[in-house]
Amino acid sequence: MTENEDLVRVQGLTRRFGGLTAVDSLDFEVRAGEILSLIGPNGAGKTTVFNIISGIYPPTSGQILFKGENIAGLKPDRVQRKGISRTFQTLRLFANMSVLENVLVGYHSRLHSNLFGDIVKPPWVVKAEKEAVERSREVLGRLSPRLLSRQEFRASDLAYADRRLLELARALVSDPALLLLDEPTAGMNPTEAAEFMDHIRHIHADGFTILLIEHNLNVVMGVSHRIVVLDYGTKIAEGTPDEVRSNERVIEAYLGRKAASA
Amino acid sequence: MVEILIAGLALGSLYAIVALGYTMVYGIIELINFAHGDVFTFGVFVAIPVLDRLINQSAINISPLQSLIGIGVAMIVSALLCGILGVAIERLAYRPLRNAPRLAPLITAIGVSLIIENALFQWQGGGLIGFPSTLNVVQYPFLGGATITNVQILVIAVAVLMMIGLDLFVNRTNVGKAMRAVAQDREAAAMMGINVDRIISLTFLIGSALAGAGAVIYGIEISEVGYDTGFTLGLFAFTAAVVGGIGNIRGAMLGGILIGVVISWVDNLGSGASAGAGTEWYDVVVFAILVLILVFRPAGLLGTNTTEKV
Repeated sequence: MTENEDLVRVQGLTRRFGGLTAVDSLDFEVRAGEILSLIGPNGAGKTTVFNIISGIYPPTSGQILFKGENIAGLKPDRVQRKGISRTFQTLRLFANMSVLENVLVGYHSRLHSNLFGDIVKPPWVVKAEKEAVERSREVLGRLSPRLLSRQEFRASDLAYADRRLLELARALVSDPALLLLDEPTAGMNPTEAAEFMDHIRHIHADGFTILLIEHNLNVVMGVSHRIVVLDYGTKIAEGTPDEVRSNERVIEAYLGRKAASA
Repeated sequence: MVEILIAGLALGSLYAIVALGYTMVYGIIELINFAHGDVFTFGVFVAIPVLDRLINQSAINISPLQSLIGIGVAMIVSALLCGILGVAIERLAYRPLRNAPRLAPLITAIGVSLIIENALFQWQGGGLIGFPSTLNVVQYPFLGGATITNVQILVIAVAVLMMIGLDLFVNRTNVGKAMRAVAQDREAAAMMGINVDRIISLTFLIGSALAGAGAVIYGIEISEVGYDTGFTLGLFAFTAAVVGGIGNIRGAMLGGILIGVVISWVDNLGSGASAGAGTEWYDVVVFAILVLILVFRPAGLLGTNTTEKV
């Protein structure tokens, strides 16, 4: 897939919850190799878009073309196996597992494990499991040597920023074509957020395509190639950080009508 | 004293094996599967015709080899059929209610339990049925002048092997890791590419298969079975799972053995004319333990607030 080709094409995506239309005929594309940010005020429908893409619930109508194939309505494990990984707004690590085990769970879809292989452990299963551990350590180490040195720690014993990184490692290990990051710097102090921004840049440099939801506008403006702005479930603006920054509808949505006309 | 302990261990290993099924299912879908005890009874019943065919009951001395092969085959058949029944129950009765309020699957579980019990009643009648004799009971001297029978050795050995096997499976294999992941956060696990439905089916398969294999050793040890055997046994096993910390596999093992030893001890209370008077009391003692645990340590002996749920 060449640069700038559409990896994901969201078309007419709509999701209603009872009388509420959380996402309303939304169209946007994610191009291969870019960092696209989804921003908007609270309740604009950003996480709903993520949840639909990752299969937590189906859209009311509309399509999500991933590499040309409509994946709307597939179950989460199928979506992940197609090559889409995500992190969560509120951390959802497997708290009772070790750091390494968490990353290994992220590699699960690559192992094709079954009951027979797990119990009998033929050589090819042993080999695949060894590779899984190596690959997991590699991803941990590349992201953060500190995390690698704590691979035997329980996930719940890590510092907050490290847990965020671990969630990122868990999503990266399956080598996804698209990475969905849902407010990765939420709850971080400015230093930690800046560090996390570097991580996002490194991951991008490694060739990953990233769709990012983020409230911290410093982070958004700093790392995004393009930005899609949502308000009340519809797209109100789209463009480069500079274009979006000076867009009146965006300022209005964020700060109110008065500020926009002032 | 040693004898009470041995008898308690043998009985307790049975409770532990059945408790594993309750605790695994609870760990993964937070459902108390009341039908589990009845799946166990089904396992005892299906083992009977298998053993009847494989072991020549009229022989005065059953050859040990014939015994072991017969028991082994019966355990496999029973485990397989119980496993299939468990998976079918989940697929037909619980899965459609996966996202319903929690009371719905709970009441369904009681319903499934009643259906199986009544089906077993239609099939085998209401009386107690003798389990085929599979072993010539031999007593061996043990510590402090106590004795241990070959049946007790077999029961404890088989149970311990199954428990170690399950523990290794859950903690050391990939599918086991996937099970733990689903137990902790079903949605996040799905997002890791884990097929949650498949893992839940597998949990029912393993839990029910363990009950099926355990059912054969129950038959050998207790030697008679009725259509409602699994009901009482299931209640005790469930108590064991709660005492150990529901959702915690090692807790279920500990709880099962503890309940077994306590029952064995109560059973032997009283002496002389009132020997065996304890038998009437063990329901009281077991459920008193349940109440005490729920009051003073609601998460169970091995449970913590962030309990490992599988």
